[in-house]
Amino acid sequence: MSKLKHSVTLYGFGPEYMRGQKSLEDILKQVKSIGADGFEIVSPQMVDGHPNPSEEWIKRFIDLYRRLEMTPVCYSIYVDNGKHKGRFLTEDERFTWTINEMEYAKRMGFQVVRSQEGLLAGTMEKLLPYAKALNLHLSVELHGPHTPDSPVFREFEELYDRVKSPYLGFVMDFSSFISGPPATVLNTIPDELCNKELLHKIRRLFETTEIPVEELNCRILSEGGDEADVYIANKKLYTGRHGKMGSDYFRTHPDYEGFRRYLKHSKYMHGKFFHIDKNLVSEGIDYPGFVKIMKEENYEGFIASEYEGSQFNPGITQVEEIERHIRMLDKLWEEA
Amino acid sequence: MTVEEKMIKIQKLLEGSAAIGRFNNPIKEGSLTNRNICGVTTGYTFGLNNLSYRGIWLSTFEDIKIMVDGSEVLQENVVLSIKDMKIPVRDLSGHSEVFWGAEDVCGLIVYQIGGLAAGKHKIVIDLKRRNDFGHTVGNGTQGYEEAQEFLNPLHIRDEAELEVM
Repeated sequence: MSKLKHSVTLYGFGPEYMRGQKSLEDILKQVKSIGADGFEIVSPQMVDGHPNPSEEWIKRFIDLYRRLEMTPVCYSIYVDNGKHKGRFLTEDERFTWTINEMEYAKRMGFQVVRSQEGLLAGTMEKLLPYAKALNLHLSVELHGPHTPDSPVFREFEELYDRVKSPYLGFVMDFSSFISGPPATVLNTIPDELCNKELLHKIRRLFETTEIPVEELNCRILSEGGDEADVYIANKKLYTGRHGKMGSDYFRTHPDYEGFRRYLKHSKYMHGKFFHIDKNLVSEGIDYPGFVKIMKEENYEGFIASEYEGSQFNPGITQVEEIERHIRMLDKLWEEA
Repeated sequence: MTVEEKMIKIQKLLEGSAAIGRFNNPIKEGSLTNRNICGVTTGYTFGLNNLSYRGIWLSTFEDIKIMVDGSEVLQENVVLSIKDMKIPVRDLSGHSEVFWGAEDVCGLIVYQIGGLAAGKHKIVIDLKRRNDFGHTVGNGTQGYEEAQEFLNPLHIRDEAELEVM
């Protein structure tokens, strides 16, 4: 039997919810049908009345997930440093904001609160007594473009190593450990505009070798491609960064040891993915390598299926993608 | 097709694909109406679609400009309507307490005696807003000069032909 505990984040259903195409109940029923052990909600996205939902809404929400026999696991919150022109939030703002969100998380029955690195380690330490008193695991999400060695995350790690508390931790998102683009990355480009077969060959070489990008571009030109193919490769195959957002691609060297190190401070993680093929393979992210580490380290927390691939027109639904993701993880766990 | 022709098409496609899944079309279709107050038309209004996958703070708006049928609307005549409040668009940056969530009905009201004539009108909205969150961190003003995601607001332009019935 697999020991992995699965969660599904409602985040992936956000666009349909924000556009009024689906209600929270519709989405929870869909997630229920997938058969995960728990779910995650993004507080500003689906908690009506955020940041101060009404008693009535909270009661209805609890009644809803109980009726569907679902388990709330993670309450995702933010540190909205863009709120004020000309400055980040102050410590008072970060501290009181997070307590407010933790109170609602507790009242709604969640176990884990996921915040962001903008919280800063010093404020996190001040929040430890509240996490302990509320019996919540307060965590910051490690998300691309950051890696375990990013200075701001090292400060959190130093705090966690010092205080050794089960109430503080990380939510690792696999966007910090991506090797290359997903297999579906070229789906939205018409065949007549590029040499797709050649570009897929280059994509796989990029992900599985350290051949310099300049040499890969020369191969495109020498193997039948043209400048348009080189342009696509530069834009879509070699990076997932958009300024300070998005993710880098780490090719053959995502930070496996950083992942292992952070696992001891993790009770929940974001299994970010873009596409799982019919053979239960997620090209671009080394799930076999990371699940092996999780098993070696006896990881007992949840892994959430966080789908972000609909932009690439994969040809199957989000629900099918998540079902495949869960099956893939269970298979890899068994085989590890 | 020449390489140059392909490049033009690809550039256009990739620029467009960056917007897929984002919320870059604020004008709500079919929402333009005149405001009739006791038989007096005091202006017109149209709805706005949310601009984020998770909702936004009104204070992140830095500028909202509206053009109607080719003429720019005076900003002093425009308010944003949300949660039973009507906030002048030039004052939005001061409203860091107001969150625009998925369930909130939001729109712009332009005060103009007589409103718009019945028929179709071309509405253009040009706005700038900061991201609500980013990955550059700091406390207060410390290190803020590095926060490119906040220092360079998003520029969103949308246009639509709406009809006043």
